[in-house]
Amino acid sequence: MKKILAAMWKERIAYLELTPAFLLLLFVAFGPVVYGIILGLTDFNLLRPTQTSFVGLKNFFAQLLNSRYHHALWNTLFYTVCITGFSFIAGLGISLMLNAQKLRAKSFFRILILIPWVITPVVVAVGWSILMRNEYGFINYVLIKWGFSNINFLGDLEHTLKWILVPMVWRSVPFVIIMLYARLKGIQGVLYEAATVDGATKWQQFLYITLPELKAVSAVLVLYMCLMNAKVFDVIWVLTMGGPGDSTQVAMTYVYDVAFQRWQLGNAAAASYVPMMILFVIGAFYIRLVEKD
Amino acid sequence: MKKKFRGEWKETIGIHVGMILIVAALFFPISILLITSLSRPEDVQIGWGWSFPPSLESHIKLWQDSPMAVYAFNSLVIAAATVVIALSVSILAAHALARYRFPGRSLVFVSILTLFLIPSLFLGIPLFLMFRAYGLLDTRLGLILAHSTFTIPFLVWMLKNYMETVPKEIEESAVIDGANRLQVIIHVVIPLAAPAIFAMAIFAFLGSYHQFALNFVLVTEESLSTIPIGAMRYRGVSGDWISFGQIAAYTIESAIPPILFLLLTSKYIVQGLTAGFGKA
Repeated sequence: MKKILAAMWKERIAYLELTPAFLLLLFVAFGPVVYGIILGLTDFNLLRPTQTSFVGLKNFFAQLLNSRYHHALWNTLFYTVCITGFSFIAGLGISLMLNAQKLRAKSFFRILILIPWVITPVVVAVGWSILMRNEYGFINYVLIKWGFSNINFLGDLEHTLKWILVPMVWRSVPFVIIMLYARLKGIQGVLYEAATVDGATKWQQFLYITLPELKAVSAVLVLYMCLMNAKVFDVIWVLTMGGPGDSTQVAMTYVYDVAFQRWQLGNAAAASYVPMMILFVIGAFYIRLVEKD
Repeated sequence: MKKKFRGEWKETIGIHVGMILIVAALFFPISILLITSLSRPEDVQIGWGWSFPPSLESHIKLWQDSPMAVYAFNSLVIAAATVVIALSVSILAAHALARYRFPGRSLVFVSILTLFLIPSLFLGIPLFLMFRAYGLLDTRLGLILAHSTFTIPFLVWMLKNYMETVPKEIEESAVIDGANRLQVIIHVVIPLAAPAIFAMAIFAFLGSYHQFALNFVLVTEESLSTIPIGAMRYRGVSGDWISFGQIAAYTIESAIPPILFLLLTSKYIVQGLTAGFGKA
């Protein structure tokens, strides 16, 4: 104990430097998070705030038995896996192309490719939703002109969930490309030359040199994308508001609905428990990988 | 590594064509929106159409008929203020985490990182109640405070990683020369890290600029809304004062600051991303 106190005193300046950030975060982040968790243990409803009582885990279990909640969680899983998967595969392919020696003007393409990723996600969603409008959108205009029937991208009970993948993959692919390309560039050419001398085919070189070299970056990338996609709210809300019906409801859009449309803030906080637990698990792996301290 | 075999020109063409197709696919939505925005509102009233010659009328009308100016102002001011505040506290915190070994170091760092894992909307629930009690709803200050919840962790993490790559000796020699710690930070650490700080500041700026969930929950007044909120509001409207041309113009114009920043920092993006996202 004395040793710890001594060490703290010796490095007291560190605590000083940390104080501003920590103080701010205490009030706007850590405090509210704790508050939120406690809120999930009450039946707080904004329409009758004074009649709040502590209910423990009753909310949590009630949510677990709620089929709308199941549906939202399931959609979240589907959405996360698909976006991460498609983005990664497409991104891998494109970054391999970008890395090909025979391509000129690489930095030009690199900047161009990043544009979908830097645009505000909500704006991406709005832009795509205009293109995907049922009767007046550009895509349907083209489809009809070519003789096909129009597709109700954002209003179809069964298929909308798949269609909203398109804009989101569109914006995620560039990020994957950039990360993988940066790593690809660093793979030493000697490895490939030696392999060619030893008679390896291009495909074998890909399997036994390229892929293993990409393993570490890919793991970090995939985990990061899973994290970002699992907590999504803004794009789905802007595209479909969880609709039509509940078909595109995701974990956080469900939480929003319960919190700010039904004003059951206690329930909403409790409904966040499961997503947060999952995020924490993924996050733990992610932090482990990224901070090899 | 340039081998010149005669048969390889096919591959070259193939790759270039493929690359162009991919860029075209990535750009087709933006191009359509661009074309729509460069059309007169009447021509694109029903959704798809275009004017020839292109006209800036939709863009002009956007600024005249809609609160775009307000939205842009709010977005930029809030993002700038968030970055300034967050940067000041984060540089100090990152320096502490990078340079000193003190009890609780890992705990502090991990708890800051954990903030990344909290969905913005979950945070929005207690913040909504707290701000409501303190009169911070519908205020820019409230939003700035709320934005620091994700800006500070981001900056601390990135800056810490960066500072760890800078040799300690420079700071130590400054201390030997008589500088106290604060002077060391101001005159040595910051100038050294300046390009990295610049790139990270831009990312942080964009993070705040893009924010939707917290803004949606904590602000309901038009006059304090930001660009993403406005985008959502006007997307559904196709009444006679806002046409598809204007909505398209909206999306194009809100993309200008990010694209500008992209051009400014393209060199650092790759370095910054890979350095910050892990020593993988």
